[in-house]
Amino acid sequence: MTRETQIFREKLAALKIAYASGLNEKLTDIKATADQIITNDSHSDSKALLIDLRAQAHKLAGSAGIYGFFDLGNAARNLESKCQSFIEQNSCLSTADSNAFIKLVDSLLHCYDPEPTEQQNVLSPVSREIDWHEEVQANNHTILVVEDDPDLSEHLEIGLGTFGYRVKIINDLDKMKAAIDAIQPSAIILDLEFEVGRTASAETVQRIRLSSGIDCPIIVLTIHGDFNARLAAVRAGCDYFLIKPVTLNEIIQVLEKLTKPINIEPKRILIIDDDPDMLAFISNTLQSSAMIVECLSDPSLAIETISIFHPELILIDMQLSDCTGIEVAMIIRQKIENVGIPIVFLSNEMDQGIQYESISGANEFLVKPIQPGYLISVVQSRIERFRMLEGNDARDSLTGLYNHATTWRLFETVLSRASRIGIQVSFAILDIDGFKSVNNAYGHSVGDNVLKALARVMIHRVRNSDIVGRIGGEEFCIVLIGTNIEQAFLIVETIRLAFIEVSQSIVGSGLPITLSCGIATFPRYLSARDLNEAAIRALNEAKAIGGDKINSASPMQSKLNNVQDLPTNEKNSHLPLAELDQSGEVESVKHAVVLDDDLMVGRFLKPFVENAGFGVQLMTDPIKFLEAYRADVDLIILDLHMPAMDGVEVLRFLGEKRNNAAIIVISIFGHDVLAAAKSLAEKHDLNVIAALHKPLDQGELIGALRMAYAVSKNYGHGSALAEYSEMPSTDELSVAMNNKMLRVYYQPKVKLASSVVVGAEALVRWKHPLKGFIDPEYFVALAEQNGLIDDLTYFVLQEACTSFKRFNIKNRNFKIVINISARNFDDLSFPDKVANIVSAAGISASDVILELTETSLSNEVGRVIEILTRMRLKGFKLSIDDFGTGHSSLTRLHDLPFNELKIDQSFVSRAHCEPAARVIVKNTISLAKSLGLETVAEGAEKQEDIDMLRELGCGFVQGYFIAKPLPLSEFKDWVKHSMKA
Amino acid sequence: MAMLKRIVHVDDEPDIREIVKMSLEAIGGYSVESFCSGQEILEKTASLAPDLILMDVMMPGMDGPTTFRELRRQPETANIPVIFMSAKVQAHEIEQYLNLGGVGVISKPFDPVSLPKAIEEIWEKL
Repeated sequence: MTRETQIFREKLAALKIAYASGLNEKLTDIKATADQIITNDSHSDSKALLIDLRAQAHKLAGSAGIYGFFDLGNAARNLESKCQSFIEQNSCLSTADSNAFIKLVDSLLHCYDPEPTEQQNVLSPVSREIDWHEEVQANNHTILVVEDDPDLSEHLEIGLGTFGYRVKIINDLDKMKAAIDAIQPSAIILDLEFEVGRTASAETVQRIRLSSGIDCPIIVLTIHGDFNARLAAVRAGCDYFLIKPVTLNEIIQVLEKLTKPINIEPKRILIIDDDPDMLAFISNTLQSSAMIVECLSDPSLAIETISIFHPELILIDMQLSDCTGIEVAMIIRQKIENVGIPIVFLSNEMDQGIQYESISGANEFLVKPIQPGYLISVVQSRIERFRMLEGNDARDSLTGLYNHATTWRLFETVLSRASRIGIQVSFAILDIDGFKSVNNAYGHSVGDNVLKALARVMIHRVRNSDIVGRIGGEEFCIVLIGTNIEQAFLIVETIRLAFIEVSQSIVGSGLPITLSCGIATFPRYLSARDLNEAAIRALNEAKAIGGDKINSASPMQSKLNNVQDLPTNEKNSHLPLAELDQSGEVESVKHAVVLDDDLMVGRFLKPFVENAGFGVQLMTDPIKFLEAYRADVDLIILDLHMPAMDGVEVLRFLGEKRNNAAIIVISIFGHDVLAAAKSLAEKHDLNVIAALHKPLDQGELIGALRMAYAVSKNYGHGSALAEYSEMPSTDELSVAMNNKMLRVYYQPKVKLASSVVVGAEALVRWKHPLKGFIDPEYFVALAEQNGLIDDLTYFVLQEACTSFKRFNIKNRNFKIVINISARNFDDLSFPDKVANIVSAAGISASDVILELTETSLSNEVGRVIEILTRMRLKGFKLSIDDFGTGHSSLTRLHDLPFNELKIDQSFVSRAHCEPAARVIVKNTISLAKSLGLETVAEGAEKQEDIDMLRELGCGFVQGYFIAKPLPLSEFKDWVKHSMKA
Repeated sequence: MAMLKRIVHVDDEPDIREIVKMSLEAIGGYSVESFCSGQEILEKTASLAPDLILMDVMMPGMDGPTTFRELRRQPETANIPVIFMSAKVQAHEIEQYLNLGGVGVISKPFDPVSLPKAIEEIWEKL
């Protein structure tokens, strides 16, 4: 951010507050006009009032968005257009009209809360979730890396990215100035040599400093580490000098030091002096350096003032009228909480003896007349030291995080505030799995590095206002303010994934180090103690199943705990369900039995099953299960391998009983065993929902439980369908997008004539930590409806363009295929933005095919043609997807500047058996040929499909028969293999 | 094209005038004169000789397009490029303003931080 922008933002914040304070009046006026319209009988008056209201709404619509009140701006826009339509209607408002009108006005008024609970709300009236990203993003610095070694560049890009830094890589010093101007980096990492006798490198750095006028730190990576090289670098203005090979950890440490935000909180000083002139002089001097000053001429008020004002330094005159400064200092220090506050005496006294005496009771002694510059410097350095000491006491020395005591104190303050203003708070405890063995295997210094790395990963992924503490050896916690359990889950998931990557870079090729986490949320649990206990319980459950898991404290756990815990005496194991029925407490809940000889597995599963809306009974003994068999159970989760009787026998028994519960089989055995068990069960007409492999994948498990809930026999009877069972919300999508939780997969496209891979279609995938893989159709539509589609498109484009260079494909005609949405065309600058991303990634527009669906062509033909034409002019190839599913006329197709036509898979997969489908495919191919378009068939699943397409003269093919969409690394492997083949 | 230095802005809404002025001066480094009506801009623009005019479309009294036509009629102001600012930017409207002779259209609400850049981009294409 440039200095101008910084100043502007500050002014803007002030302006926003002023604007917000005027909003009340504007809204009151609008309400008054609206009320008059509703109560008015005269048509002509109504019309005049409507015109008036339209003008008021128009003004608000224009300005609110600019000041950040987007919802208010939109609501005003709606009201404006309603007014317009009433004016055009030119008749009295009907009752229905009036009602609609009142609704609009009400929703406008609701968009602005005149009494925000925090000042922050005034400044950014966007939702809290969005604030979260902005705040976290604000912590993320952009680092410019100048490096010509592609491997090191990639390593730095990925590594620094994991720590939340944005990274811009350039490989040429000449491009540096332009890059600095464009991204305003927080630091620059330069790969340069400072050899003896060679001054080129030093001159380069100096030149960059001078020409771009930058003052950001420069870190040099170099091979030569002798004194002369270091001296040359220092003289050239380099701030850090790292000798290669450097570890990521070293770079991060330096970056953190360099980019750490400066504590700009103003310093607070109390002055006690009975001379008004002296008071005025000191307070003016200190205030001129932006310090907050409280003046006191009556020392008897000192204690009270200190407890209210919390000074960080006290200046006391030695000679007060009724007592001495030393006496006042003693009184102040008698209060234990004041002992640490530095006290500085001011005196005319030249007597060394008195000075020494006073020094012993205070920290400093200043002799009048005092030079203003000296006064400021003494006060500042004292307070900075005071702040550092305070900070040291509060923090863990290894990681710099809050220590146990501080975390606890802050956590309790947060909770009391949360209950006052009514927000959710999530509390997560994170623990490194098998940390002892890390220490044993690699030594304590590596262990310490792992702890520090986790601390950094956490800090980079939460907001400044959240609390991160180290509460035990390898145990950490995060207090996430204003965050519900789902959001907390997503945040911790990003931490979990990043930690695995980072720890790998520390310990090298060994087994990855993982972490487990338990989360509990206020107000579901009310006190810090309850939250802690619940989170630890959840953590232990996650550990019990093998770790590397995040687990939430079950919402129903506290309610069901007493009746649900497995009795040690198995005889009563059938009782809990009966008791549940009678108690009526959870009668709407469906019933599930978990049968696994390992009680820990049952305990792990329990919260998930409960969250899915079931009451759970845990059983460990299959024989007892058969004895106590009940037909009215809705879900049975069954382990296949149990010592007393195996799961297959249990399945046979259930088959004989014609059991119709939903069944989920779990096993540590391979997928083939699971598949066999599943088919066996199906032969018995059992309703097997899923066969899951241990250790259980949470996403799969939740998906299976959701399905089980849906198919279990008394569907609709239960109301406790878990909060997780819904499809993800827009907010979750936005969290996922901002945290790189979306992944781009690549599906190969092959030329039929030569069987050579000629391209890859980039497809976005979202694996939700709770809900498993989300249907792309669903979340793309969600993005389209909620204004996220541009970001999503750019994200996929950027990823794909970056990957393109890593594909390592020699074929010059290889192209990457990107799907675009009709909604992208709402922004007329879309072609330019796409072109910018592509060229920034260093690839050419002709390497990219943009693909859009036939149905998306139906709107706003003029705009579509304009944008598509501009795309073509920029050198992109265009492909029309799902051809045959929309209603494009041939003329339209002829008018549009496409290069390629994709035949929808619904036709391709049916063509070899359905004559009608075959005719469609055949004609589409010949139509495309006559229009000069390439043809691509989608959804080829069998050899027959390929043969048929070849016969019909189709150009290219995609589909599961060739390969399914693959993550980047697998795609690269696939290409390697296919080339060998 | 010469350097862009002086901009005249017209909008009837004081809140918008204030933020536009601040944004263009603080970030863009331009000198900005703001006016609240078409009438006012017609009277004063000639003497100010700005490089560019930024004009709200929907203003009470004389609206943006009318003001624009009037400016074109006076020889001293006929050649000053005009960018329209409008809350209702549909494709056909953009076309309409461009056909009228505007050099660009900026939609409201806009992001005050990137406003100068948006204007610069239009200016550079002239």
